[in-house]
Amino acid sequence: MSLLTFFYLLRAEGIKITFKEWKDLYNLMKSGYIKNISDLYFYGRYVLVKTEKLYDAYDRAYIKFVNEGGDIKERIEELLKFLDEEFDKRVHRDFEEISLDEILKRFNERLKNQKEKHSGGGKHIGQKGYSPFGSYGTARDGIRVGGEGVNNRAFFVASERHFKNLREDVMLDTRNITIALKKLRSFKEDGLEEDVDIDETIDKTAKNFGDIDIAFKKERRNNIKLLLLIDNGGSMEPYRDKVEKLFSSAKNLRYFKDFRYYYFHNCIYDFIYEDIENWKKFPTAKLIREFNPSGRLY
Amino acid sequence: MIYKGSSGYVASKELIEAVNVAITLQKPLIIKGEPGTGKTMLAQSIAESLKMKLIVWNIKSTTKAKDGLYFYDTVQRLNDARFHDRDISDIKQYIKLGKLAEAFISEDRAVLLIDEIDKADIEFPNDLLNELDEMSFYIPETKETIVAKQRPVVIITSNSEKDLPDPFLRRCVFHYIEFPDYELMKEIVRVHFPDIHRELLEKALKIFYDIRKIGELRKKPSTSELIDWIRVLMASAVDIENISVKNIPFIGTLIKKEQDLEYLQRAYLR
Repeated sequence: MSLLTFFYLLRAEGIKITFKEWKDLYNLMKSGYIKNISDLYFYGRYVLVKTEKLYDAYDRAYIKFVNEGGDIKERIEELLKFLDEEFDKRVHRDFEEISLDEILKRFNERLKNQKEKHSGGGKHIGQKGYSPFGSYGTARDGIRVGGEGVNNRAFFVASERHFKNLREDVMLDTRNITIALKKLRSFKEDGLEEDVDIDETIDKTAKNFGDIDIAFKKERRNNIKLLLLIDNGGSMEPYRDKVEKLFSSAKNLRYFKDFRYYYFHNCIYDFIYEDIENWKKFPTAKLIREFNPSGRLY
Repeated sequence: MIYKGSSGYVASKELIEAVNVAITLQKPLIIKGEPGTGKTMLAQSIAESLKMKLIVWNIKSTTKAKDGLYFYDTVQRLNDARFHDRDISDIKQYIKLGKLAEAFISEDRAVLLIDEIDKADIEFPNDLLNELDEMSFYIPETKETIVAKQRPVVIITSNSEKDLPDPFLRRCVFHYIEFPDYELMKEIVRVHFPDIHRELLEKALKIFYDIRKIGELRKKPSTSELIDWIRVLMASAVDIENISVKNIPFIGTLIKKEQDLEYLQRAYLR
């Protein structure tokens, strides 16, 4: 399987990788950091995944990628060679302007050709080569893939998938909603007086017969902590989705100092829910403890 | 230039790798993780092991991106103009450089720690995009451009209080430090107390992880609290036998919030 499969698997899991980041991975390969499939897991994660919430998605994409099998070393070399040629060709043009899709397309074409020429079955390696249950490192027909025991490290970490709870599926809605939400922000003048109040200074100076008298004012700050409790189930069901979308875009844009949302059913009892898909409970008492009077509840 | 960790700091293999990636790609490294996972100490360890100067920029909720670049003391100048104290035509003397600029003008390559970036306003990271990309900035008042003599190694820490903006993240290398597990924690404690009694270590760690499991706490104890607690335990020579979840001596070093203490007392210590 080509390295680009990995790229697509990552995209499919919702990890939005830009060309810049893919180029970082390329640079790491060039500098000799990535020698085997295990290195790919870790170094790929450092440069491609920018939040622990997507670690689990990354793990899943990686598992799928590894399970597809194939001689990774060869593929990495191939990708390097291709990218080198591509860079040379376009050295005088703006690098960022080449569409990624185009490169991918051309690369895939090349891969296809390569496959026809080389396919003798010798390249394909049984899945067991990567399995955490042993006999790893050696392919069916005796080709060693990457380093020996090291291979296991990444796959082991990935299959544990212990970043599962850090996942957060963010729904991004239309720009209109987010712009409208901006209006909900209210700045408050707060804290120390450290901004120079120009109008007041001119005023005071004039009154002071031109002798400069500087006035200060407090700085404007965004201090709203927002807590949203959504009534879920029954008659409210049709509206839930819309409300959720609205506020998930708010969270995404970080308009508020703090923003959290929970669900309840009928009435707020001892527990409210963090997640309605699997009814994950959250104690109401904890919520009350965590939110002080500076928060706002909707 | 390869970072290999330093003697007083226990770093995982992944963390060391991430640091080296950031150094190679010349990109800022964002370190995220719970408090007490040694995020701030990392920069110190890098500076120490690579023999570089460490410049710390502590971010507060009032910190603006411009604070890291320079500060033009207009009020002082106005004041000087009023009392004719100094020659005010030289604006340069009223320009004070910030921490980022300090890292830029350093003759030798420096380590710049931008500590707790998520404390600042949501626009803060975006305001730094260009400066971190180009490693240079322009001071309009003096028509000067400050360019990094040596691109500093930039370490940014975040407590995951707020998500950082995507354009900023795209320009960085990212690593999430998980809270140390039992075995790693043992190693960390041993770095601080090489001659700790094995029994005390195990008992303390067990209670520590038990307390951390209580979901209702507002602030879970972290590594630094554990270290403090063990230090008091060792200094006071408490009988190890008597320590249990029901009887935690010097609990104030572990639990810092009054509400948590009350909760623990109600639930466990009765």
